[in-house]
Amino acid sequence: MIFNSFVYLIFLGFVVSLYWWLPRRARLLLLFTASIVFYSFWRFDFVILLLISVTVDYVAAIVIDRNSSTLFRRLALITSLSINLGLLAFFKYYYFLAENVAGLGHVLGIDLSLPTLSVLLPIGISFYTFQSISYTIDVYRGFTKPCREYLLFANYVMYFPQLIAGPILRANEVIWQLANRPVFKLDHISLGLRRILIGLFLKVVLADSISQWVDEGFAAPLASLSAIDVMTLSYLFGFQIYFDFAAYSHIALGSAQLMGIRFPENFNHPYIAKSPRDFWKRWHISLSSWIRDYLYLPLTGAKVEDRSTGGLQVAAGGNGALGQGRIYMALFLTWAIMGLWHGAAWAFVLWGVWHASLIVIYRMSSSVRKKMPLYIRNIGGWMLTIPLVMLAWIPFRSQSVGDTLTMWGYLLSPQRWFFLGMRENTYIGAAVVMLLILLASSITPLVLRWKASSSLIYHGAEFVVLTVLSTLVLIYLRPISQFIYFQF
Amino acid sequence: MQQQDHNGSNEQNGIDSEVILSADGEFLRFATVVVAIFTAVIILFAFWSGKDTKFEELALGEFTSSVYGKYNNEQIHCRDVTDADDCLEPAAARSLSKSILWLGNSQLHGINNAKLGDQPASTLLANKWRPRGVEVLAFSQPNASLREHYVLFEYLLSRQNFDILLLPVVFDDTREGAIRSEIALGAEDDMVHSQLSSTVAGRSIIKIIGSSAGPNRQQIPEKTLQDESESWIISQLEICCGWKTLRQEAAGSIKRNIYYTRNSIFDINPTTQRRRLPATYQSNLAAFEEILQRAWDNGIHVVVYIAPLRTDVAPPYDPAEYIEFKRSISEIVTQKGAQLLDLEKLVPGQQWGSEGTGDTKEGLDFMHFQHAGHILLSQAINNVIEEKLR
Repeated sequence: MIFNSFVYLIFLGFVVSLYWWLPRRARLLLLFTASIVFYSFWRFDFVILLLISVTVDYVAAIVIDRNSSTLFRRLALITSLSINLGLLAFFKYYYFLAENVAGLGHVLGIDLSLPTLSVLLPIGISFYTFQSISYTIDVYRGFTKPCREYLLFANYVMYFPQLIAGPILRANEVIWQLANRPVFKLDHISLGLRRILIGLFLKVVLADSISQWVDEGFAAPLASLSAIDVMTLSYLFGFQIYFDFAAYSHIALGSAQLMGIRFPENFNHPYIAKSPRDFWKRWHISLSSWIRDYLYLPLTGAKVEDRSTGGLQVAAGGNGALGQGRIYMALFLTWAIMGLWHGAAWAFVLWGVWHASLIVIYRMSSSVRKKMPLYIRNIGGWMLTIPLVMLAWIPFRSQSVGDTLTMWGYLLSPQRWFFLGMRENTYIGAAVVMLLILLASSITPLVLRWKASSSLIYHGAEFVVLTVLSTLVLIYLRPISQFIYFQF
Repeated sequence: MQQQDHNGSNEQNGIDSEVILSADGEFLRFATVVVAIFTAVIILFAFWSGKDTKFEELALGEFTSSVYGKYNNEQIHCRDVTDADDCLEPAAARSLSKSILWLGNSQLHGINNAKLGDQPASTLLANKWRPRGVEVLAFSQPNASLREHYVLFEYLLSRQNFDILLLPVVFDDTREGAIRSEIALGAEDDMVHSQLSSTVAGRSIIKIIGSSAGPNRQQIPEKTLQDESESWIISQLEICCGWKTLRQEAAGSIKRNIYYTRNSIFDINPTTQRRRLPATYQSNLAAFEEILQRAWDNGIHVVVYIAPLRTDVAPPYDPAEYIEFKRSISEIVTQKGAQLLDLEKLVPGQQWGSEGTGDTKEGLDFMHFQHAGHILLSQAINNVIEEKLR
């Protein structure tokens, strides 16, 4: 089911209304059924995969907890990881693997073609797989006790607000909330509705409008683009993917909030980041936190965390025995995998390697930066970080590594800086959106302080803003365009 | 978020960006958001209900009207895929031995300072040829690009064949890169999609029409339960409250105001020089080549004409770019075995707008002429067709 649709709003209203009336067991059954219905609006048959994931991890966690033998515990964990990651690998990476194996065979002069299969990517598989295996690993690590109630655990994995595109949550953040409904407060409804309205506005008004410029720009012949066009398109797609994904997160958080369930924030004004490290504490926080705890920190040997907040913080030096070489290898491997998680293509690996490179350069320059005044570090850091982060979106959106390198190459070509290849509205739009983002980030702290005062004037101003947002959402609400992160 | 165990202790930490809200204002907070949503619904109905603004008329300028021609009360001039059947089905029923297809932009259906009884060039041409058993059909949209003509041409060709294609080339429209949804619909037809996919120009159009997609493009079944249920809900809302029309009216109004604001801030008016956009220019020329090639493959004679341009004032183009454009068109026409007419100077200045018809700096119209201009255009085209069909 798509969030930006009347169907979802009606569905959500129905589920929330029942949620606050039903006793515990019926409530869990309601959520379970609702999640299946939610997923079935795309494909009913793929619900089986979901249930396989749920059941395997439910059983594996109990086996891990019940056994003191390290062998059995590891066996259960490996079984869980193999099945979950195996399904993910097959459905998401079969074509990628087949293509590359065939290519290798072509180079070697032998036929290495894999069977031609028609494999449909199950929507949300990357997200729910990561969420589910985080639970098994956390039980293995002793961070959390296994959930003995199948229905409760199933709801943790399948809970519809975050089923398709996250946030990727830890068991200890969510299961207790699903198990124990809080006392009903009107604030659950009002805060939830606010988040949903904001999310819908970001998606149907901003992201979908920007997508037209992006589509036109990326469909143009490469040779007709100037260096400024490449920068503009990178910014525009950066805005589009941010609004699109932040919208999804807002609606997910808002939908859960309607049921009194609190998710951690998934974005924190990423485009005011002052460094690559800062950016990864603000962008897709739940994924980068997952990568931190289940991939990066284990690779560096550092102590892991058990929360889906904080983002991908780079270990200061791992444990004392590790050299910089291993840290950097871990960095590049982590980001390459994170790139591949987003898409089965080398372009996404390139995206990951780009970000890893930024982090490495940032780390290597720390002694130079420390000598600078704070205001230069902040402003200069922002002015350097954001263009470099935006350029990383080029491989994300373009069709190939070749196109990406060509577009990046245009920035190094002097003659490409002296013409403009796109409509004037495109540049105006990019500039306006950037200004709006900066304005929104600047006034957010002031608005929050004003909100705390709860004055009538604040409520009056909020009423006006919400009315405008609601009007625009009602005008532009249509499910014709998917959320970008659905394809991951 | 503080870790909690399954036994349900309820300590919670606030998140940095959150504010601890007092219980006192709970109802006020709730009322604010609920009343805002209801107010939004009321605003929608209050401002835009019952209106049927012809936004394309606004795009033509204050003193120009849209006239989609008819012959004997039968529609012969349509807009796009959405109303194509209004023209094609009666034509199929008539089944005349020869047929002419005329594609164009708003110059074809726009009449400056229109009076009762004024007809566009398409109707004037039909008046001459229908009595002689030759079908004349026209399709035009405001700011139609050659890429859109390509999609529409493929769509129309999938429905019936033609003997002659009349195709204006307008420098201004080579800046248009988007494919409007009413034309993109045509690409949903399997045959049309297949034809477009077989050419580079067509594939780039399909890319534009499709959604933003990277290498992981989701293969979604054609109609999911989501599509069907959402369509049903929208149809019910349209029946009960005119919802779709209401939203179109509101969206059009907002877009119009944004454009007026932009024009006001940047002092953009009809005399503002429009620069060539390399990307869309090349894409449109590529589409132009494909139209001519397809016509050739189907035995259709193509008459390309340089659209009439107002010449009593300086046009809003770079002269060198415009000359280059004409040269490129001429080359392609020669290569593809079509016929080229240069009608740039066809319509005299006084037939583009005179006193009282908005002929000011803001009201100068470089695209739409009066009824007399349509007469001249139809006569020029007619001469060529006489030669061809003799």
